[in-house]
Amino acid sequence: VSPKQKAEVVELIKRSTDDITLAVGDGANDVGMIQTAHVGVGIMGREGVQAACASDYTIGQFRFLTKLLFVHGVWSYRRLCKVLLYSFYKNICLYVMELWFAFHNGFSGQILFERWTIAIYNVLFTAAPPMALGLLDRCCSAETMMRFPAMYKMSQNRSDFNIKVFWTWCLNAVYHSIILYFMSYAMLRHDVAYSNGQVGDYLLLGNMIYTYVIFVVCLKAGLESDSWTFLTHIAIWGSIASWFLFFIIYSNIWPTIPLAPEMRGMAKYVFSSLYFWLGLLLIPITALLADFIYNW
Amino acid sequence: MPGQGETEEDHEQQKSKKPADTAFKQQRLPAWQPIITANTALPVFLIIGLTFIPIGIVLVITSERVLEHDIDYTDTNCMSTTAANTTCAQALENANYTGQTCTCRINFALDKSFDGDVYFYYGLINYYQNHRRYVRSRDDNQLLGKEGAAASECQPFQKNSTGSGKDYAPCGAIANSKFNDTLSLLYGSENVSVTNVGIAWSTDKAVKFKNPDNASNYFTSTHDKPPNWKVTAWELDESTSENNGYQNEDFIVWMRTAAMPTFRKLYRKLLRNSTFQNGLPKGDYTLVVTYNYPVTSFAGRKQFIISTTSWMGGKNPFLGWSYIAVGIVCMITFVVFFILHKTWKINNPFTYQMASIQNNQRITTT
Repeated sequence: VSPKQKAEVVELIKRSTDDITLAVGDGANDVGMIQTAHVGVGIMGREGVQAACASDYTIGQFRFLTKLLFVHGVWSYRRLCKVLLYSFYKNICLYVMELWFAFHNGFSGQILFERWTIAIYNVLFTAAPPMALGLLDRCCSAETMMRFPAMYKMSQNRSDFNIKVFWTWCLNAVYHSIILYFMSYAMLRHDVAYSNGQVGDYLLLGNMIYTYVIFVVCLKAGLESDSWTFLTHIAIWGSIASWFLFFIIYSNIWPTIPLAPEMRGMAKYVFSSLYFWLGLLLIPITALLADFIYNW
Repeated sequence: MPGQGETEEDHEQQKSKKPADTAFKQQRLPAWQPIITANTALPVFLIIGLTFIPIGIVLVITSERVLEHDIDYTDTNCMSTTAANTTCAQALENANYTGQTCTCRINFALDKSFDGDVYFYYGLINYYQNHRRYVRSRDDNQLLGKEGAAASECQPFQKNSTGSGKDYAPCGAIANSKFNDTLSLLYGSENVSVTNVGIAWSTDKAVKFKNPDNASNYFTSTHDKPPNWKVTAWELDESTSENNGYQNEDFIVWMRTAAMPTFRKLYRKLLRNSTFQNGLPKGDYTLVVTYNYPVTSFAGRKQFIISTTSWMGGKNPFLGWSYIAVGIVCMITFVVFFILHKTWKINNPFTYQMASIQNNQRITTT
């Protein structure tokens, strides 16, 4: 069989079915087939490295193919889906709140949160949880996956990422943003959040809500995680801690550093308000209650 | 991660390309795999329910104990003492609010004594301090007393371009719209003693707002007062220099832009001496208003609010009721699922055992 014929066989299957094709080979004559298939696996070994160079995945022995598919294939599929859905979710959850605030600020475009805290949201405070989900999450151990190859079907029928799942996550994000925003809004409607009678401003509300969002979003990653390694713990609790640390530092730099005058004193006033702490106990739990039941 | 096996070792002892056999690199990190079962979830709901409901009750009671009295003095309540049959709102419109003031007296009664510390607020309704163009219209460097031109964000309240050409001090729309009604209380014929110290955020007063050097010259000759102000910033409180200019606490409180179009700002605090040692006694009071601040053109409303506080803050039962509501929802969830769990166990003993075995071995099937 010539290389061209091998490639044509794969092409035939691709054209006549909807299936995803995988081709595995070890020699230079397999290169055409490997490249034509959706997924090409090359075996690096006695026949040389040409097949390996042309492939998407390289393995050392033919028998490793089962592990590649049944363990890493399924894990990668589930992880990728989770990361995708989670990334949409966490951004929708935060930024849709600007829409709810727009109803209260005359649609003038005023943001509820300080502009740099918004910018760093994806970079610092919610960067680690999707990484933990994407790199470390697994539904079962490698031995279990190898023992029950039928579990491979999980990754073949679009169960983890399809239109319905996607919109469910988006609606979930909107639901969380509604709870987070409107409960905090009602909590602070009369402005007086201190026993000494003082009132706050829009950023006081904004920073309280932002803290609640970080909690909800990070804990949601935990809820979606099938396996909590110590790195997952670090990702989730560490992200929350990094926000607190950043918040404290950022609230004290003006006017030493000519940045963020509106944040000066915020950490002190947020943390000294009992409304904040009581809301912290109530509002994230309220938001995640439905998710907890659903996962159960 | 693609699996990588061993390379064939030549008889020349090549360096092995095998990746390290650590738990991290071989995806073997020990992990806690939480599977939410009835045994773990039901206690969670029970605990949440049992803690939230008492907390909620405490919060509701605390809020109910806070006493508050609101007086809306926008129009019909506040009749001018000088012009007959005119509200102060109308008087202000007629005079085009230049130079003319209007005073009114509103009689009211407190049917309960307000014990403890009492705080006085002015409240505004339909006033969008959270509008984007408004919020950015300030110059925080100027408020630090620094030299330099007023920032361009302050436009159109940056400088007096039609008149002297001098910068406004303070510049910006927020500063220009500073609330300038004066509100005072009479208890019978006695003045209610109040203080305006400690109404602004301590960090604002200490760090963010500083008068420039040679303040008197700064505010009166080198800079103009904002167009809607009746006096310059240096005349805001001439008796106390720490409360004058940019450091005036009423001004600082106003510059903290509120979150919502209905808001209140701390105006004065009761000074507890002689008659008012324990708070505001029950009885008849008169609110004396110098009505300078026009709100009728945008259907705004003004209020004078008398309020005590609790260990938490002002009067707002929302948090308390939310705690109770969420607590009740959790208890209901607990009861419902507890019943379902027990009946399912009774009706399906074999399946339940199988599920338990499966849970223990952490096998999931598709």
